[in-house]
Amino acid sequence: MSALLDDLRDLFVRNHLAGARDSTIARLTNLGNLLADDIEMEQAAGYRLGEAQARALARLRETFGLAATGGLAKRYRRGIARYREILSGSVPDTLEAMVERCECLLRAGIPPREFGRHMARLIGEEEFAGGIRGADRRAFARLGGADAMSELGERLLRAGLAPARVRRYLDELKEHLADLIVEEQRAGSAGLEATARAQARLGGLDMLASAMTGRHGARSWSARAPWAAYFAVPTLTLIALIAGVVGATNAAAQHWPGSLRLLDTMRQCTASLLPLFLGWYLSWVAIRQRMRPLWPLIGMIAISMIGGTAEAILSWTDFGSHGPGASGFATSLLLEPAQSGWDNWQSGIEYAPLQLLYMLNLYLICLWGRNWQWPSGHPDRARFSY
Amino acid sequence: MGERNPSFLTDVPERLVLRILREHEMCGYELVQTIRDRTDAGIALGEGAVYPVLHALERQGALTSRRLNIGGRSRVCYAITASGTRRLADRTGTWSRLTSAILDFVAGGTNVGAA
Repeated sequence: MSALLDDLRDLFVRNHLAGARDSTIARLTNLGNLLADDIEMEQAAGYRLGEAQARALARLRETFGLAATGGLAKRYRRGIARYREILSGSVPDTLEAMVERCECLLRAGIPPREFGRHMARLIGEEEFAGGIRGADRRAFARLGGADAMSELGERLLRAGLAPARVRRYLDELKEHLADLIVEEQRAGSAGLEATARAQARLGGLDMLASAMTGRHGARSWSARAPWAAYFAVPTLTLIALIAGVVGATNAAAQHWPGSLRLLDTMRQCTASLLPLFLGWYLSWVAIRQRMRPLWPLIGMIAISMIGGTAEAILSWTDFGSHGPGASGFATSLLLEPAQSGWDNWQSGIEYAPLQLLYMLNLYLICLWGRNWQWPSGHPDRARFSY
Repeated sequence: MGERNPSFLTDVPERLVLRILREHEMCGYELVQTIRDRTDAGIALGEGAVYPVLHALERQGALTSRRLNIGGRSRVCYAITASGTRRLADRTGTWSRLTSAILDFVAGGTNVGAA
């Protein structure tokens, strides 16, 4: 058991250092919790508190020392290799030992489907099904705590809660669950039983989800008013930003007539790049908040239209034709089409589909990636979601 | 009745949380254990349900939170604010008037309108 914990600790540190998903604080919190668990285990093995702390700390330092060598990619590969080594190591000879190992891996944040597949391969599908699932199907299902948490998170995000709030709720639930497991173990429950009892005390998935979504004001403003978050605010922001840049460059051109070419380039870059960046930002927010595609798409279309229009207008109202005292972007937007004719306007609008295409590329890839998983058996799909 | 009380029952968890946090700062786990101990397990709730209450109170300014190290583990602890104390006093007063009115009513009294 102690060797397994050593392996897990090693694996944990390596992957937390290599992974980029959690924030630094969350990683340190996890390490702190791991250390606390280790101290408790040392105490349970008969060491006094001071000794137990020293032993656990020494082990953690040693692991850090090991993990700190080599580049990130190398460390990641070594972490994955170690993970496989653990799974392909000695096969637990009793059902209880096997369940215990599964539980340890779960607590380390390794998804059940990952180690379940490896276990099944090690001891044979039939034995695996007959052993764990047949012996205590319900208890094994309860072990899926990591998956349950991720499902809860998904539900809350889809219900319109802000990602930061969801993350905090899940973090606190995980910490609460860890405390409950320790309490149950102290009360004499065995490993699997303690986990099952703790999860029952914490509450079912439906209750935990409805307790959060049922509260007034729980939904983020972007979920309550998607038209504002994905359409009105971005388009107005874009118009304001472009108008601001045009105003600033016009003012600068009056003071430094020698830099007209540079200022004109700045205006053109602003008109082409700002909408693109804004569109990508919208894509990222929409994906992160599990937003349905309607309003993000409308927002992106509007942004690309404004971007294309702005580029066209800026090319007609450059300093050469209108001079540095041009009336500014907002006025141009309204007046230029009438003055320059529909043909010019139309040619300017041709920029819009190109920009929209660039924005949609990223959005669609992210949308696809969110629902996509590595095919079963892919060697690099060891995801640590703790 | 002189006032409307739409949150008569729904804000019971809030009152419990505020009342316990008035004594000292606690993390969610401690808070739930305290509720269970003090009510002699009379109030049994899914323990995870306490966090939405805590978060809502924090959003409304009744609580503040910070991360503390408790027994070697990092936990989020909550403390009551001045606004939370006022809120508790206000809710407790309303609660007392309501319960007294209900008791009167159940006992067959006629002083129901006093609330």
